[in-house]
Amino acid sequence: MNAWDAAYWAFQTIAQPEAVAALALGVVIGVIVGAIPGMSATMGVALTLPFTFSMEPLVGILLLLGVYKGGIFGGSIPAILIKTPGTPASSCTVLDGHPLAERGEAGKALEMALYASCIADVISNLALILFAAWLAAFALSFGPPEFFTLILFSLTIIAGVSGDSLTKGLISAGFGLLAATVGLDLVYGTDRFIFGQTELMAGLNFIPVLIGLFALPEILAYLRRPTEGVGKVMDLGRHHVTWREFRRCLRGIGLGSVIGVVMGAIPGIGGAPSAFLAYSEARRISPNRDRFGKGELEGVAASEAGNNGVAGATLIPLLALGVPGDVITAVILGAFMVHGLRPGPIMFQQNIILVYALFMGILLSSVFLFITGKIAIRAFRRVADIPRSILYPSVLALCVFGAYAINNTMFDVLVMFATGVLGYFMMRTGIPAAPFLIAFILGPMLEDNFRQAMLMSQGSFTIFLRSGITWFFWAATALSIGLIVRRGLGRRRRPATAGGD
Amino acid sequence: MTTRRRDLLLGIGVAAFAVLLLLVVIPLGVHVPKAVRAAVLSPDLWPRVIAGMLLVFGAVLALQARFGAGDEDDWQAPGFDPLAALRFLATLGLFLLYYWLVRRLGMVLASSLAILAFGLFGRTRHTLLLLATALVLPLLLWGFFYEIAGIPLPSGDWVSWP
Repeated sequence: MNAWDAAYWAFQTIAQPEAVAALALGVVIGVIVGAIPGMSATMGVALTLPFTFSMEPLVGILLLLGVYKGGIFGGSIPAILIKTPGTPASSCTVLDGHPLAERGEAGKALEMALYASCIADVISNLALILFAAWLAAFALSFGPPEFFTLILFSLTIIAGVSGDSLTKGLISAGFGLLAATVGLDLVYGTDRFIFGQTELMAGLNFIPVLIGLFALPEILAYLRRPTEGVGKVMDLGRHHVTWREFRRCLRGIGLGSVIGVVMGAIPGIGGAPSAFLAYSEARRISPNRDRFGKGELEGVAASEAGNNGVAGATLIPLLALGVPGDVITAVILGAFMVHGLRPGPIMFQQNIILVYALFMGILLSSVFLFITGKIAIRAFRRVADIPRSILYPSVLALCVFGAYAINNTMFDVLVMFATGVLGYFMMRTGIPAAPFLIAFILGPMLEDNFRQAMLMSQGSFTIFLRSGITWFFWAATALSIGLIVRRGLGRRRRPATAGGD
Repeated sequence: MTTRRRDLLLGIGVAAFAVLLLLVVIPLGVHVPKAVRAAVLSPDLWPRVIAGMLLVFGAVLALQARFGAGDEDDWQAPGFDPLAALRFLATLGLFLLYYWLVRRLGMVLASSLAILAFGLFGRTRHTLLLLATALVLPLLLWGFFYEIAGIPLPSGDWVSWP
């Protein structure tokens, strides 16, 4: 059977009403699950998996892919409206999305998040179809030293989200790295900062820390002085993204999509680091870089493109090599195996019609995402019209349910309250929360890959110079630090000159 | 308090915390096995590096605040507000009460009471809407998490529901 015949039969297969309906239903479920703080896209896919057992393989897998794609976008809705990211991948969207909502431009922020998500999704899907085999081979050449240098480079993002004081940003990152060391040591399995608490053995969970850091300080600040913020009306209905604004953001969307595709193809990276890197790079090239973090539409576009660009690309190692790139694709791999299919090069020979049908379904999912997203924005945008004295207690209850649901333990609720108080202290002292979060996410990856590399090389640091990839990331890190220093010096010189004048 | 003075105290505080980490918390909290092959593989290497970073950054912040070029009209924070401080402490108390009530009344009932309490504490003028939210929202969340997602929500010692 030649490629055209296979494509024809694949089209016949995907055109079945149940396949299209499953994909559409999956996207709807995903958006709803993603919009609920504490319910990640991973949980959505895992919860949907049992329902696919009795379905046709293609229908079941399309349902799961729909949930995955919808879930990634859905997380941006509460991130923008109530400063509580629905999924870890959308935590970067908070940085500019929520300030926009506070200015009464939540509708605009949500629309831009949707447009960026859909464009990045299409680019990611095309990359999956066109470069699956090539990108998978490139991704496989990443070992611990390459990961270490990549993550080290990603940490330079901290400079971009530190606000007015880089020193405070670095202090915040230090606390984030410290919080990430809690738990059992990876190499020796010994205790680190557990102090007899068995719940701490697995380390601090990401979601309670994230909710505590971003959502609770707002609630604490409001309850401390409930009259604050009165008069701030969130006018949502009349603000839409203009063509000019869209065009201005296109560069960031393109960059974010490419970053998402490359990082998605590398197993184990995921949407959150990709979003932060896309955000940082978009900020670096934007003429409006000073407005990033204060409600810049380009920031929302880049971070959403970064995390959605990952969605199609994570399927590259799965389909081409049978290697799951993250937890979600591991669940989807399980779905393939339940139906007697084994992703990898052999599937491209034996089940080419199914592979082509999946490609077509994945492309169609971007259309469903756009339609569902438009409806979801209308449904959820009313959230911002709710009086604060009702909204904040409701958000608090939502946070408690969400934090508990991660591991079914009230300990995570306590962690959320504790990080909430820490976040409030940081807010009052002008320490930015974003570097804490980035370091908390990237810290364990940095340490694990460093120590794995050290184990491989018997303690020799030359392993970090073993390949072209590590050299590339060392150079990129040095360049990035050089630019930060130059910009810092420039900023210092400017007020001095102004003073002299 | 001015921002410069606040940053000076903050820098000193961070540096002092880092010293505490290096001298007390890491030796007590990080168990280092005797069979560690190389110093770079030791479980306490990373915490020590981070503590060292915090010490340096804390000191830099304090020095910047003390000797850095500041504006003449340095931002003046509003004075101490005892009522706001009391309300902050009361909010923390309500958080702990919410946590305690979950164990006594279960997640759903405790959340209903918490929404009511926080709404009234936030001086809401929409009492009816608050009542409706306190009744409906926890039930919706229960329906989603317990019935659909199958997550076993905690029931209380006094009221065993759900």
